[in-house]
Amino acid sequence: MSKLFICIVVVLGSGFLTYSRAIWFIYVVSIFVAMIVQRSWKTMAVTILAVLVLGAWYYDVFNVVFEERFVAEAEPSDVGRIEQARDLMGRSRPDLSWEGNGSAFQYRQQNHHAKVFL
Amino acid sequence: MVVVAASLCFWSLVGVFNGQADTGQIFSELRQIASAISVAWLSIFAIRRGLLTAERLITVIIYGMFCVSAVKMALVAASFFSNIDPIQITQSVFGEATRADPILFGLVRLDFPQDIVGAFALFALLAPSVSGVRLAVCRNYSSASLWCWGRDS
Repeated sequence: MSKLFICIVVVLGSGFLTYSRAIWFIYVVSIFVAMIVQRSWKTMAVTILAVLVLGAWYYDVFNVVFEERFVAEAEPSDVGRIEQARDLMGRSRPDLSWEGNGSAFQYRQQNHHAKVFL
Repeated sequence: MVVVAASLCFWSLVGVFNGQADTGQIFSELRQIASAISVAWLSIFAIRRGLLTAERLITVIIYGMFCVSAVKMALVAASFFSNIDPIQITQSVFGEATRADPILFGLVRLDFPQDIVGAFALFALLAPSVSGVRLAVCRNYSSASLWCWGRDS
């Protein structure tokens, strides 16, 4: 195995362990942007094919992870964001206070165990 | 830099005059923002002065990201083979900035603030024509570091 392959696998594994939808999304975007920049269409096709094959092979695992992250846990995780978005849309002027929308203080008040909603 | 510093002072003063700000929290946030900006500024400064090439800087960042990722993977893997608690270790070593929770299949969620860099590291690795990163360069640096370390000791 080359160093490049090991590096990519370790960083990808670390990205999965973040268990963050935003990080996952950025990782996928960066991979595909790199392939587009490099014009490596064959690699892109092989990657997509490999994902489809692995997805079909380990369907149960992917299904559990998807449900856990995008359906079950996503609902309570997004409550704070939805409340903040509603509050923000209802304001006619910005709240400059430390407790204003999007502030770390407000995040911690609403969800003490998380620093940010990701 | 003056504008950035003035903006940070402005937001700090808004928090202080509001009367409900935690001073420790303000300094904590300011420290994080200032360190992020100063590291980026120093990097640009070093590259423009020719002290460092962009390729070398990116390579160092990739290897740093690799080390952080390897530590995370090792912690989670070790929890399967030995009786250690990766959540406790992570919280005690890296502090509250790290998010550590149990997730599926006995795995542990380890969410470091630096994880966002992983996406850029992946891009740099997968697009060498843009980043100019060659891992062989780093091998030479590792060898040089080992040689220097061995000579000193």
